[in-house]
Amino acid sequence: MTWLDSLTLASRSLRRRPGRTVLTTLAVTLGATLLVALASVATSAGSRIVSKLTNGGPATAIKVAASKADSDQAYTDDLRAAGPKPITDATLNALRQSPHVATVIPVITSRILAVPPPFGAAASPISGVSAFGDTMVGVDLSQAHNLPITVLAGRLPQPRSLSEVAITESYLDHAGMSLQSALGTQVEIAEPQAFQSQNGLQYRGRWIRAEIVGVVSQQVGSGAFLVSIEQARLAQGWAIAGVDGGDAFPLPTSKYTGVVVVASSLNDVHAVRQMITSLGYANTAPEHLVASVLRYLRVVDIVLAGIGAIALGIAGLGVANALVAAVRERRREIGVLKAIGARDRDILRWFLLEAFTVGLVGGVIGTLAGLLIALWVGVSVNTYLTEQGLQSIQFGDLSWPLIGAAILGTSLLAIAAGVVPALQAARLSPKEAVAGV
Amino acid sequence: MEALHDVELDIQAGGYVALMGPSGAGKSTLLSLIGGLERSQWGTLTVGQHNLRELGVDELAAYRRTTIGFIFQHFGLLDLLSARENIELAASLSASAKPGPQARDLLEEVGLLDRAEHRPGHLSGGERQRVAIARALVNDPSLILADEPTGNLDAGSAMRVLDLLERVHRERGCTLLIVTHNEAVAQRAEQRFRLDAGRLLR
Repeated sequence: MTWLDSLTLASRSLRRRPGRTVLTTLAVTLGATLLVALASVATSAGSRIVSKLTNGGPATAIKVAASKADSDQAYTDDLRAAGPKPITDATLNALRQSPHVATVIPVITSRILAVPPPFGAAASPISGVSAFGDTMVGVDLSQAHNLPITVLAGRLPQPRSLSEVAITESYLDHAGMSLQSALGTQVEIAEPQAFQSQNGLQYRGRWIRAEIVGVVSQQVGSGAFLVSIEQARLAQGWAIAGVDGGDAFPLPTSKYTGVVVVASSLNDVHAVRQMITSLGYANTAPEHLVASVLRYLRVVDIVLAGIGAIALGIAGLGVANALVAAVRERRREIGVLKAIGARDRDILRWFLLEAFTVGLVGGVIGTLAGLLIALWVGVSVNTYLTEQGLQSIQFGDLSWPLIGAAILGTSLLAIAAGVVPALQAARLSPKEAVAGV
Repeated sequence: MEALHDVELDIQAGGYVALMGPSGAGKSTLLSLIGGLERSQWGTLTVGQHNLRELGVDELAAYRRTTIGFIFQHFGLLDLLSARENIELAASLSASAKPGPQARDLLEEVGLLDRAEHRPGHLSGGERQRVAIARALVNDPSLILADEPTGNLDAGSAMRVLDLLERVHRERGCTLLIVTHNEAVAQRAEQRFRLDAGRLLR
């Protein structure tokens, strides 16, 4: 018997009992739906939790400060600084050449004076508008995906822009603006410089006016303004061109305020941190926290997989039950096939193909339904999060390995469930099966 | 329980034999033994070159598809398949064996070419039995075993089916063994045997 013959027999057998076929396929579909929906939602939620822990950056990001590491640095997630230690281009090169390091992103921060709108005619604070001191944080924004930055609204400034900024919610509090109303407005920023005059130490500003293009949550550095590193470098250069402002405005001693080092994988974070510590720099990464949370997420995954497996197990029993009934009612046909020369494996293939077809169809429909449910859950959750002013979650990404595994898994499960009844059919004595024919 | 006892039966190749007897006499058991559907526990059973007691499960299946053509009282067609597909399925079972006649040629031979795409449920009893005969012939068997081939047919259909079987036997030279209750059917055979309580009487 050819495979085509077996497939024809299997498909027509299924069509002969449409009610039973639909119910059996539905059981497989529901199992696959549950498994795929749970896996999709759990994966998205897990990513969200890790993302929250790392403020949107990769879980493998390590923040390095321009400070000496103290002796306990290697044993804690926290920054353990013990006095200044400049970060130079040589430091960056050393980090880039170290094993297990994927990316090295320098950070420059600079103190500023910010003036929210409305602005006066002169580029300076006017009465009635509260100017406030803050810090601008400059990074290579093309590497933002590797940094602990979460965009809450709008977008990030263009990577080399000198006229765009993103602000944090701290700015909104100072300016009395809402998240949406701040977008598209401008802010005046004074980059200060200390200088000596006849009246003693005084300050002057290099004024810029920048457009607020986004609202972010960021932990790259402490500051309400996220700008391109070029902007921060200009501010730093302007400050260095002045004099030391003492405790109130000291001259920068390090070319870079900090560095974000991204390790190749979570397993490499500890080794990279040890390397950074051995270079003498204080550093911080939620290494132990992320590992601990991932362990809990793993437990959640196992529980959810268990629920899905139970559903699939029930579906498998449904397939087995349907095939047992089919074998019972097809004894005559099995007998005829054997009488005209079918081998045991021909009968086996007929029934296994029938089980496989149910598993495949149920798997495909169930996987699609599961993805749609995950998408629907995502839309519902995101609607709620947006209403609460929180960042939405990326749901419903097509995970091809998950799709493939679900369809293949249900198909194989159906085959496994069909093995016993198919073997019973194959081993029927032809004389017994053909009785009454 | 012993179904057959001390049965000694020789059938010449190309012969036409009728086997008669009351229900429970062992006719179907003997047919099953000769057809390789079950194994005898004692004695010798040889069909052509095949010693059936020495054949394994797969060898018996091969024997059934290449040497035997079965015809059943209730036709034994698969309702899932059309008349043509029933015949083609039997042909595909022995695809590696010698090539036999095509399904459409056989349907034409039994006068059912116009019913080729009909499923058994849409054919009359006589038509179904003719399709069954065509299926039995598709692998060019040397022995046709017919178990009450007219037992489920009206008199007219029964005669047509019997005529067809005899024509096949004559033209193809294959051995024909018919189990029947019907004396008139048995009378048309070249040799007749009677089974009674598991014993063979001439």
